[in-house]
Amino acid sequence: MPARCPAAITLALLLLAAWASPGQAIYADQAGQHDWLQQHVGRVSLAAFAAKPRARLFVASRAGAVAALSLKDGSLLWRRVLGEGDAATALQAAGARVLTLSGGGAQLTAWDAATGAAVWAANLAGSSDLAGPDAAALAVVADGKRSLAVAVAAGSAKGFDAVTGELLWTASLPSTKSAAAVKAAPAAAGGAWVASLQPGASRLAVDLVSPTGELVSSIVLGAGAQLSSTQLLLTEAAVAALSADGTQLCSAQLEQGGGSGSLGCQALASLLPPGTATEGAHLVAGTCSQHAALRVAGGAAALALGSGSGAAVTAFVPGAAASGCFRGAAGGQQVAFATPSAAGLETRVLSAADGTAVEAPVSVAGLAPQRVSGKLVGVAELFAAPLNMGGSQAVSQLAVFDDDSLALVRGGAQAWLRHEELASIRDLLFTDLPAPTPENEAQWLASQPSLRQSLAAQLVALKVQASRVGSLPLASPEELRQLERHKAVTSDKLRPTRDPDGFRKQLVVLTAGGKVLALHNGDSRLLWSLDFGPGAGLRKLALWRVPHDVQHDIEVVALAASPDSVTATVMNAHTGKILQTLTAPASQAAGAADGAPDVLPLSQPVHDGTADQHVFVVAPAGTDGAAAVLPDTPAARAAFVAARPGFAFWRVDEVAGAVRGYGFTESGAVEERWSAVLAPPAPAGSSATQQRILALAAHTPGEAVGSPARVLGSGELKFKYLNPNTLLVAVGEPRGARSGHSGGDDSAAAGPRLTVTLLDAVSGRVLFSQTHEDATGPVHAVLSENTAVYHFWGSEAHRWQVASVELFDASPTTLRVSDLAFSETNTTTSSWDVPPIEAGAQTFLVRHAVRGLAATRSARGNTAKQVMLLTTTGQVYLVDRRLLDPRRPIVAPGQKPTPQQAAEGLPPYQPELPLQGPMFATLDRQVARLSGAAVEAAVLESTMLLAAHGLDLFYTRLTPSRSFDMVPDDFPYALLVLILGGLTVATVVLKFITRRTAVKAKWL
Amino acid sequence: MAEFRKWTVQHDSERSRIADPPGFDAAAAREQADGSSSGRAAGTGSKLPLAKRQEALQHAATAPFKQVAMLCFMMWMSGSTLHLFSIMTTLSGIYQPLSAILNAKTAFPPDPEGELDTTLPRLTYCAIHGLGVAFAVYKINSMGLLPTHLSDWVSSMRPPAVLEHAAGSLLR
Repeated sequence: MPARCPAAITLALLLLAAWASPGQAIYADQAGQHDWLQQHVGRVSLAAFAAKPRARLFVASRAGAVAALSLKDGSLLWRRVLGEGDAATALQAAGARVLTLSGGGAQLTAWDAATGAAVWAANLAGSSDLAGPDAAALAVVADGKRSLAVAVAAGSAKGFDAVTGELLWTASLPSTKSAAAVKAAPAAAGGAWVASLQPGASRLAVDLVSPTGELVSSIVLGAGAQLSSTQLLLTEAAVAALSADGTQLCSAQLEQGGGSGSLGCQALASLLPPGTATEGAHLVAGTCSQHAALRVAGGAAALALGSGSGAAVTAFVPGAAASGCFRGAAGGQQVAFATPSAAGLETRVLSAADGTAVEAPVSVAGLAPQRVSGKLVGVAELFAAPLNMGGSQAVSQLAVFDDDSLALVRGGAQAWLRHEELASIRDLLFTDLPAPTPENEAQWLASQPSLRQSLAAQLVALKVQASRVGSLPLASPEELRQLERHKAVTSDKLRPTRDPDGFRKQLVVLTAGGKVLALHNGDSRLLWSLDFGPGAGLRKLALWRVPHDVQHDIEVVALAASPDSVTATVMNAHTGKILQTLTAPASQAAGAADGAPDVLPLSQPVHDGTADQHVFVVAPAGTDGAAAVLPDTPAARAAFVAARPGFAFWRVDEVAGAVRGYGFTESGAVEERWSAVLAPPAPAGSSATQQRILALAAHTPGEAVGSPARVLGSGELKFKYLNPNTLLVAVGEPRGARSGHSGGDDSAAAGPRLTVTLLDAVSGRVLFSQTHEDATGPVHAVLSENTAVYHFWGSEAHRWQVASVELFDASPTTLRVSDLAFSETNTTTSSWDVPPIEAGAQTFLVRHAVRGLAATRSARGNTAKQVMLLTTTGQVYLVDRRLLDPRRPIVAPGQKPTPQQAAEGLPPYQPELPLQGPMFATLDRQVARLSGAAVEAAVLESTMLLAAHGLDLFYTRLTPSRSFDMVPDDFPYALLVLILGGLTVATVVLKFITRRTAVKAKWL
Repeated sequence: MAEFRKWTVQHDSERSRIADPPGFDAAAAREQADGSSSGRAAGTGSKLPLAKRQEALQHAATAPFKQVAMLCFMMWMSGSTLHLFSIMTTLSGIYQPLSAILNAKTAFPPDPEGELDTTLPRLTYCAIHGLGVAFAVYKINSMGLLPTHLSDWVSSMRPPAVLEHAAGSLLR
C-alpha cells in the first residue's frame, strides 16, 4: 500500500467515485438546461413554396441540406442532410412529397412533406453516365388527380407516381444522352417538355413526352450562337437560353409538332435599357408559361418569351434581384423584385406580362444587412409565391442574401430572419462577457418579471412540489408551462454579464463568408455581428487585449493574410465595434517562394499597464525575410526581442514531404534551423505508393498541467516528459490510395504503413517514432500533457483504431521527500537538453470514424482528462484518458488485478474501447457535418465549456470528474434554510423548557 | 444562644443558572461516584516501609504494559486497511498512551518528603506508553497515512518551466 497524504486519498476516492459511474449522464429534465443545439441549413440554393396541404417552405442548400421551414417563424420543421459533398440540384414540391435530385443528378429522392422521412428513391443513372448535375432534370406533371414525377437523365425519361414512387413508364429520349444540359417542364397541353443541349452545341433538342410516357414530338431548334449549358430555361410553352458568352438571349415558343425551327437570338445590350451592366447574366427558373426572369449585374428584368422575333423585356428594375416568374393568386404571371437599400430591402411584385405593379414597392425596414465598409449586402437569390396565410393573400418572398442569411418578407414586412451564415463557422473563440455594472444589471432587472409574477410563479412551484409529494394533480398543465417560461426567463445563465464561476461566456465566431458574430452561451442569442465580406479574407480569430480591470472591454482580433502583408482587425468583443485595423508588412527576401506569411503567437502576452496585450509575429514566407510584430508598439517589439532566442516555429512542406523548423536571427530575419523529410517523394517509375504527411498535431498553447508526475500502483513516481513543443507527424498512405492496384502483383510488397513521429519543434529532434503495419489514413491526432492520441484506419483489422503514446522522463530521480517538503521545486526544461525518454504505446480498436480529435482542458489541469472523438455522425464522444492509457494492465480472464495494478486505478486492458451511452457529450443530438470543437475552461476547476460546430452549432458544459466543486443547481437551499431556522426555534424553545424544568425540580 | 444563620438566595445574580435552594446539593442527586479517584499514590498511606512503597510505585509504573500490549494487539488485529474499526483502534491506540504520558505527573506526584524516588517509575511509565505511541505511529505508517513518500508530495510539485517556445502559424 503506498503512502499517501489524506488529500491524495480524497482525490483518489473522488476519482474512483467518478470512475464508478462515468461522467456525463443526466436526467431527462436536465436536458437543455446547459446545452443547446442550433440547426441550420446553410446557403439556400433552391426553394419551393407549398400551399397545400399546409403552407410550407421547402429549401435545399449548397451544404447538402433539404429542409422544411415554418413560414410563420422560420423554425426548422424537419431537415435531412445528404451525404458529404452531395447537394440537391433540383427541388420540387408535389403535394405530400418533396422531390429532390442529388448525387450529381443521378439520385431521385421523395421526402414526406410533413415529416421529412425519405419515402422512396430511384437511381436514374450510373455515376459516370451524367456530364454534370445540369444533365438531369425533374418536373412534376399533373396527370388527372395524381402527380407525376418526370425525371430525365442519361437518355431516358422516367415517370414515377410522386406519392408512391411506382415507376409508371420509361421513355427513351436519345437526344438527352450525353447532353450537357437537360431541362424538363410540364407542358401546357399535358405531359412534359424536355429540352437538351449537347456539349458545345448551338442547337437545342426539345421533346414532348405525354403523361403516359409516349414521345409525342421532337423539335430541333437552332440558334446562331453556341449556347450556355448552365443557362437554359424551359417553361410550359417556351424555351430560352443564353449564349455561351453570355451576351445573347435566344428564345422560342414551343408548339406541338415535329420538325425543326429556330431560336430568336437578341443581344442583351439591346434588350435591356442602355447602359445596363449585362455581365453575369442568368435566367431564373419559374413556373409561368411564357414569361421568365433574367438577372444581370445591373438589375433584373421580366421577360416575355418567344413574342415575335424572340424575347421582350416587359419590366426592368435596376439593381434588383428577381424571383422566378410565378402565377399570382388571380392567375396573372408575376415576378417579384427585391432591391437592397439602406432604408431596408425594397420589394415589389410586377406583372410579367406588362410590367404593371401588382404589389407596390415597399421598404422592409430593418432588413438592410451591411458590410463594415458600408456597402449593402446584395440579394443572391429571391424566391416568391402567393400564399394564403391566416386568411390574407399576399406574395411571400424568400430572400437569400450574399452573407447567407435568409429572410422571409410578407406583406411588406419581415416575417423572420435566419442567420444561416452560422452553418459555415471557420473559427470559434470563447471570451468573457462584460463585467456587471449598475447599468447592465438594471437592464437585466428591467427585463425580469415583476414581483407579482415572481410570487405567482413561486406559488405554482409550491403547488408542483406539493403535488409531487402527495401525487395530486394540483398544478394545471398551463401553470406548469407558465412555470417553465418563468424559469427560462429568470435563469441566471441568460444574464448579460460574466459570473465568478466563469460559466457565462460569449462565443465569437468567424464564418467562411467573413462575418464575425458574438453569441451568448446561455441561449445562443446574437449579441452583435460584423460583416467583413468574403473579400476581407479573414482566417482566424484570436484574443487581442484582456484588461486587468472590469471597466475595460476585452478585444479580439481577426487575422487576414495576403502574400505581402497581414491585416489584423481589432474589435471590441463586448460591443462589436471595430477599434483599429493594423497591417504588418511581410517583406520577403528577393527570390523567396510565394506564399502567405505565417502569423505566430508569442507564448506570453505583454503586460502593458491596464491589460494583457497578446503579441503576434508575422514571418514572411521563405527564409531571410524580416519579421514584423503585431501590434507594432515598443512594448511588443521588446517582448519579441526578449523571446527571440527561444522562439521557433514550424512549417509543413507538402510537396517535399517535410516538416521544417525555423527561428529568428539576431536581426529578426527568418532562418531555417532543422528539416525532417519524413515522406520523401517516390522516385519516378517506382511502384511504391506515395507516402504523404497525413496529419500534424501540436499542443494547445497554455494548457494547464495538474502535476508533473504520475503515481504508480507501487507508490513510485514517474515523471511525465512535459514538452509543449512536441509535434506529432503522421506519415502514410491516404485511405483508398491502393484501391487501383491489383492485389496479385505486389503481394510480396508490404501492406500500407503508417509511421507516427513525435518531434521536438524547437530542435527537430525525434523523441519517439513507431510504425503501424497495414494502417492508412485518415489520421487525426491530439496532444495533451505527455500523451499523444491518434486515430487511423487499420486496413488489416478493417477497423478504426486509436493509438496512444505516453512519454516519461526516464532520468534517475534525485528528488527526496525533504526536497519537496521543505523547499520549492523550481525546475526548467529545455528542448536542447532532452532527458532519456521512456515511452509507452498501446493501440485500441474503436467503433467511431472521426473527423477530428480534441482534448478537454480545465482551469488548473487537475480534472480528469478526456479525449473527444468528433465522429462523422456528428457526435462528440468522450473517452476517458485512463481507457487510453498504455499502462492499462493485462489481466488474464477470470483473474483479479494485483493490488498494485488496482491501486493505479486503470481498467484492465481490453482490445476494444468500450462504447458507453452516457459518454456522448452531444447527448442524443447530432451536429450535422461536425467539423470542429472548441473547449474553454471555466473558472471552476471541474467545468469546461464545449462548442461543437459544423452545419449546426452545439454548446454544452462538460464535467469529466463531475461537479466536485459546486453544489448542484437543484440544491434545495430552501430546505437548508428551513432546517437551520427550525433548529434555531427548537433551541430557543428547548432552552425555555429546560429552564422551567430546572426551576420545578429545584424549587417546587 | 444559638446563632441563627441567615440565608439569602440571589435570583437575579445569575441569569443563566437557576439558583440553588439553600441546602441543595447537586452532587447528592447523582449516583455516588467511585472513590478510586482519590489517588493511588496518596492513598497507599505512609504507614508502609519505604522499600515497600518504592516497590509499589515501581509496580504501578509497569502496570500499563499489559494495557499497551493489548492496544497494540488490537491495532495489529484490526489490519492495515482503511476501515472504521482500524481507524478507531489506531486513534485510541495513539490517544490513550499520549494522554497517559501527559498525565504522568498526576499519576506519579513527587513525594513531599523527598524519600521516594518517583522519577524512575515515572520514566518507566512513560517509556511503556511511548512504546504504545511508537507502535501506533508504525501502524499509521503501515496504513499509508504518513507523508513519507515522494508520491505524497506530488500535488506540491510544479510542472517545469519551458525555456523555448515553438509555434505553428495561426493561418494554416
